[in-house]
Amino acid sequence: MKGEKLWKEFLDTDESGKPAAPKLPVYGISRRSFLSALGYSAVGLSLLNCRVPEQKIVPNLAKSPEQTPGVANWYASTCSGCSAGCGTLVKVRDGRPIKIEGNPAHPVSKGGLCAVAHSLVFSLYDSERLKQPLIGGQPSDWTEVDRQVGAKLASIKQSRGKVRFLSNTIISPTSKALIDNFLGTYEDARHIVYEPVSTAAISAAHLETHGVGSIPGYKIQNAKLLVSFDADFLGTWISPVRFTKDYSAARDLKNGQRSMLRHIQYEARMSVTGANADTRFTTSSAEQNEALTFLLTALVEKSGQSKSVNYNLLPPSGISPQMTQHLETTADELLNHRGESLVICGSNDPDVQLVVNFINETLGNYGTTIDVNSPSPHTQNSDGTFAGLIEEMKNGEVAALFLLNVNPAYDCYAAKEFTEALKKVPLKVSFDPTLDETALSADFVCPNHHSLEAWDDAETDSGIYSFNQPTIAPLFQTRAYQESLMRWSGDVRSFYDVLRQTWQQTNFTKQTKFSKFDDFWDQSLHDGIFADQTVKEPVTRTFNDKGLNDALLRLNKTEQSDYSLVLYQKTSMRDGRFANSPWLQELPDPITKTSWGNYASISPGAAEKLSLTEGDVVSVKKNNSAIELPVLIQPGQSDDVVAVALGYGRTHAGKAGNGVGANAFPFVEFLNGTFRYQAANIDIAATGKRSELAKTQIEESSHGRPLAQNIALSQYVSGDHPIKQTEFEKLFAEHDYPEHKWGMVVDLSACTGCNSCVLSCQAENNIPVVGKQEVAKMRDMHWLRVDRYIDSNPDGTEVTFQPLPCMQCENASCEMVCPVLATVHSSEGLNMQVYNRCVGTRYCANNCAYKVRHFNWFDYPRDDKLANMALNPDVTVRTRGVMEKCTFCVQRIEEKKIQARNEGRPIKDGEIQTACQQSCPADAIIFGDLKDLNSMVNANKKSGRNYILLEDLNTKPAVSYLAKVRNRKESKEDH
Amino acid sequence: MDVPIEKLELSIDERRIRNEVGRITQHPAVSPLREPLVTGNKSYSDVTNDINVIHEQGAGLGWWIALAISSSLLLIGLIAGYLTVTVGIGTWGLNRTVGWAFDITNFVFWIGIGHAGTFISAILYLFNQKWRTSINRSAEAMTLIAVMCAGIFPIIHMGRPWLFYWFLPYPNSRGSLWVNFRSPLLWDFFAISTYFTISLVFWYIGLLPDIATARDRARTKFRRKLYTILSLGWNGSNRTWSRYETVYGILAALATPLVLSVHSIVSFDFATSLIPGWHSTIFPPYFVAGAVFSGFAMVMTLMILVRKVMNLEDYITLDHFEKMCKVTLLTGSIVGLAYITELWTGFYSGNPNEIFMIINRVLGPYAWAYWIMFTFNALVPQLFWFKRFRRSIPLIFVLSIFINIGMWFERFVIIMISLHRDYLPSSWTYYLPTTVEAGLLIGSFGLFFTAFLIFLRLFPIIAASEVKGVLKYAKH
Repeated sequence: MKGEKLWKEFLDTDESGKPAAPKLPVYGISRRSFLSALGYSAVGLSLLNCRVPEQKIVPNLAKSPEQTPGVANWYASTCSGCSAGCGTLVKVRDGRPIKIEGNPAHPVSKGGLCAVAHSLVFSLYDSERLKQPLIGGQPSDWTEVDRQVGAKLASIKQSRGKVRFLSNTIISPTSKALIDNFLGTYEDARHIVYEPVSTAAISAAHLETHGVGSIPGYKIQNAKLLVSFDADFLGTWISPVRFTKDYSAARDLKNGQRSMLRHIQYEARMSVTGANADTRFTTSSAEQNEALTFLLTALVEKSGQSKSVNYNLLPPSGISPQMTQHLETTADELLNHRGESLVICGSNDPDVQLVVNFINETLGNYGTTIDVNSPSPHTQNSDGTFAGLIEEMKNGEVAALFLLNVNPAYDCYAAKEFTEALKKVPLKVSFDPTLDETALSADFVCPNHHSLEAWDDAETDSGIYSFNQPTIAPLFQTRAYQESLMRWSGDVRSFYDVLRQTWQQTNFTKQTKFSKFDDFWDQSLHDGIFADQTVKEPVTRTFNDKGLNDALLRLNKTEQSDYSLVLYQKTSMRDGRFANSPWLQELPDPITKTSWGNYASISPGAAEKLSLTEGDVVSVKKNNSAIELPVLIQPGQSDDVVAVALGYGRTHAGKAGNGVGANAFPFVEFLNGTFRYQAANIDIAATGKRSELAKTQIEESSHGRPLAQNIALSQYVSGDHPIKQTEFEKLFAEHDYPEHKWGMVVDLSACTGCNSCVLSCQAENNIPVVGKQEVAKMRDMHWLRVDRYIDSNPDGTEVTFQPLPCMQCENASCEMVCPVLATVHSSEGLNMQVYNRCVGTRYCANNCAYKVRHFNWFDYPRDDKLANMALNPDVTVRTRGVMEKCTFCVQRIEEKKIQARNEGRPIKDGEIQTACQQSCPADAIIFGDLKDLNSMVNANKKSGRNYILLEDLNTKPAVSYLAKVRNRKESKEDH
Repeated sequence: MDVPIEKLELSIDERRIRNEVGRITQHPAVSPLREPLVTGNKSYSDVTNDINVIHEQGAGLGWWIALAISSSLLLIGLIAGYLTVTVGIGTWGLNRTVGWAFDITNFVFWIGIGHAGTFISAILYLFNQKWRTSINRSAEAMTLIAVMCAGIFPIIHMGRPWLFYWFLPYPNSRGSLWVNFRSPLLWDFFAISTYFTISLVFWYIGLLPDIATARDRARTKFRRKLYTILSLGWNGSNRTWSRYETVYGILAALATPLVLSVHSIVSFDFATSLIPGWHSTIFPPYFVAGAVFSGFAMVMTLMILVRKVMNLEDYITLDHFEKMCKVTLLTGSIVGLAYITELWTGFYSGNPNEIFMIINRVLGPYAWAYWIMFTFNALVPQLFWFKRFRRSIPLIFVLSIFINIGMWFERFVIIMISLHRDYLPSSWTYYLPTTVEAGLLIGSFGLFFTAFLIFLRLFPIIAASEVKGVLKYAKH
């Protein structure tokens, strides 16, 4: 390796510095000298394997043009967490990427990020990543891999064997073309896209109705009414960050708007999306499909259109009378919003999606809120072709299988079958960066770069191209999978060159601004995106309604079952790809507030019927699949539904992810060409065992206290609501804030409870992960937590979220009680925690009404040197026995203050962003200077919705809340 | 004051006469109207012998067994303390909402225990309560040991106990770094160190005449040397006695306000904070009464054992216990009244948080702790309204232990139950102690009894000089 100095060069040198010849005794070898020679050579031989620790001192005189020690650089890139392709800005400090933020200029995510994106930093420094390629499980090197794979591929080419390339959704046009090129050299080669959690039914249904086999563009921002059936679009469905951005923009009341998008959710389990809905109805598993068909019937009837719906097919047999009523009302509402409503459904049944398409067509939503002409590139998978692949493999037809970012041996509906079939494939090449369940059985594991080390591009929306640029030199001997493919087809270029060439040939030609490609490239790379401005002629597509009757016939045969299993993804763990991230494992689920593992959620009614209490372990069985999970009682869930999160029970994820929870993927069914995430007729039985859930909040109800306050839109518009602020008499001298007084407003109406802020805070502030046992003891360390209250009201179960950072009180109860002045008030209104002064009496935490202080009960492990690379050097790592808490990201405040001072200007409003604020996909957090009378934060504090949590205590927090506004239908719900 | 026997026969009943006649004829100076403070017709030399023989003789088997048990308990505490300091407070059952539980409960409990000693030696002295003489020495020793036991907890409960000296407002090289005089925890520090100092000096000054006696009787070289140094040259002259009496009186006057102030200040830890169940103006008097209450209970427990084991039934008589029972009844009733007042003000405040706190105490997940507290502290002492019970040693022994358990739970109820469910239901938690925490509590009892046993073998456990002064009690 370049720059590598070996110890042997230092072992012994003569005057000229050259290695000296070993001094051998001239007259025979004595026992003594033999032994010393033996020892010498043993030490010498072992030292041959050592490398001088590479230490580079960067002289300031010749500093690299981009780097200033201590000052971060930001690089625009694209998130590789899922196929949504959100734009990111990667913060690189002294050559190390340490934090990922959203790229505000990116049209898809508009600066928002989800929790998964933050964990990418952690996965980069995951010491369990493969450090070099493996041949047959043994470490090897790239030359050997290239030689062996090349030979095998050549023989396959000769024997005309089938080559299959199995990957997840690839949104990079360049890489996709590269794969196609590679496969093009083989006679029978196919690229099969596989997603463990599939939304292929939507594409299938649109292929049927519009002739476009992809997911259409949903324009929530154009809608006035959104009706969702089991689609968790704010949590995990398709592109949650984008949907959250659009959703919160359509419901924003901060700039004086008096109207907002109305959201109705019908769902069987309690999802983040359902929790945010203005009106939420719990459907039983039997009702789910019929509710949609009933809605369609009602719509068609009421709108007077006849189309081809055969009403006789649809007796509302499984739907309860109340549900019929609700659906009728919804139908009326929808008809009042023709062309400005949107109906979506989370089901992966093409028949159901077909009905949804018909509903939207009846409402005239195509062209306004749904755009089939700009399909999103997200899901390109076809569940059927993947099932076909297993068959091919079983029959021994596949000669070579390439696996990229997929783990079917863990997450496929027939994992055992797949693993068995895999054995019949003579050449299995995995590009996995870790030795996961599938890579284990690969002949060659050619670890791909981490996305933070790799070049790539992405088409994140039709016509929107963004970059993935490396932010650090590869840490290990990994190689971009594209380059591996190129090597095996005799191409010696780097992928970077290919990328540039492709862009020169494609995107460069689509613009006129730049005449030189280099300028275009640099600008696009700098921005992170290139938007194709060429106007495409909209294609008019006719709606094909032929398939509907058949679909309805099939749907009408819903089988009755006592308990149905609903499989879902958690916002943190998703499909389990990043299970080895302790950050994600410890991030509590927004709804259940449970971290580290999955569980069987059942409704309180079901719990009573089965006489189960929380923590009882049950076995969930269907056919040959059985898992044991602790029970979690979830209000708001249908009585006949058992909900289990996917993504857990990994066996080869790494030390953080192995054996956490149980794997529910075996319950996925393959039916009618798609994967189904709902299994009817399951058996659920108590095992008599108990297992503790690691919950960060054990009390569900707000006990009627006015904490996370809710008002109706009508109340907000009329101003007739209980939200108010009280001025208390001032008994004592107040603090003086000569320059700044930092304050924050959290808009509960915007907050969806997604927890992205929690992880952003964790990454920014070096917050330790404590593990399941400690979380179960309520010793989680998250500085910012999102409180969740589940309350029952006449409308059903209502869930409200309330993010809780340190309130930075003016009359801080913590400051008064610290005997050693370890927590003090700053002249800018911050409650500062002085770690090295803290002796750990915990009095401050006891006396904090908001309980936002966290104590270091132990020295939390910081022994993984590689993982420590992710630490933010601007924030102290705390030791045992010290109290810590949210600082309002004081390091960010200081950074911007210094910058402004250097530039001789006042700080601009909005310039300082706290980590939680920056990542929030809903723009729920506003931070700024309260001394600046024109600041956004001041404007919002004057809003009629502004209130202070526990105002009576007169702690005078710098954080206030804007009450949540629900756009309820007055006539029916406000009784 | 000689009382003619004829007159006496008219005024008292037969039983009393039979009891008293013999003694009266021997010591005509004793009043038959009052029970004598020391029974058994002791002469001055009897007193000297009886008391000094305890620490002069070799320890009996009972003492060794007691020491073995108590030092084993202490060892448990040492192991628990070692784990706490080396591994971290994480070895305890605390969590992000409950930051104090066993630790501060133990602290307040032991401080409370100490109060009886000061009450007996200072306040009763100023009020000229002669009966105190038999028990004040050991009660004061108990105070000192209890304060030592208490002092461990604020130090060990810290996340970084090795930095405990940062509590001291000493001039330092760290610039403007100083302590926070607004913090009740700091007030605690001053209150307790003052309390310990005064108690130690008061106890030591009171010991001087007896140490001098021990010096004069000492047979071994070591003891003679030890007591010679400790007796500060006591020579029994009139001048020595006169100075002694003056100093003793001044110290008693100084110690008296401490009985009220120390526990008031300890209660400020809670009263000045904003947690419902802590934030209460009733705390200072309530805590002081509770402290005297628990202290007397502990004195009774100890004295019952001591008089039995050390054969001091003539010095620590049933009358002593009866009087202590009366104090216990009074303070227990004050505590009971405070409990009821707390319930009432909770509801009267109209504050939903306060009301919830009361309901949570009485009916919540830790209601059992509340009802142990209420029964043992407010109800059980009511038995002492009956003379029969005040003079029944076995019953007093059992009840005094009940009261001690109850008073420990009182602090646990105030500290833990208030904390575990406060303003935001989102941060409500449960608390379960760990073995390490239990070990520390056990260890503090180990320390208490070990130190007390050592005291028994080292110093005259009854203030012999003072007892001699009340032998002819009725004369005064």
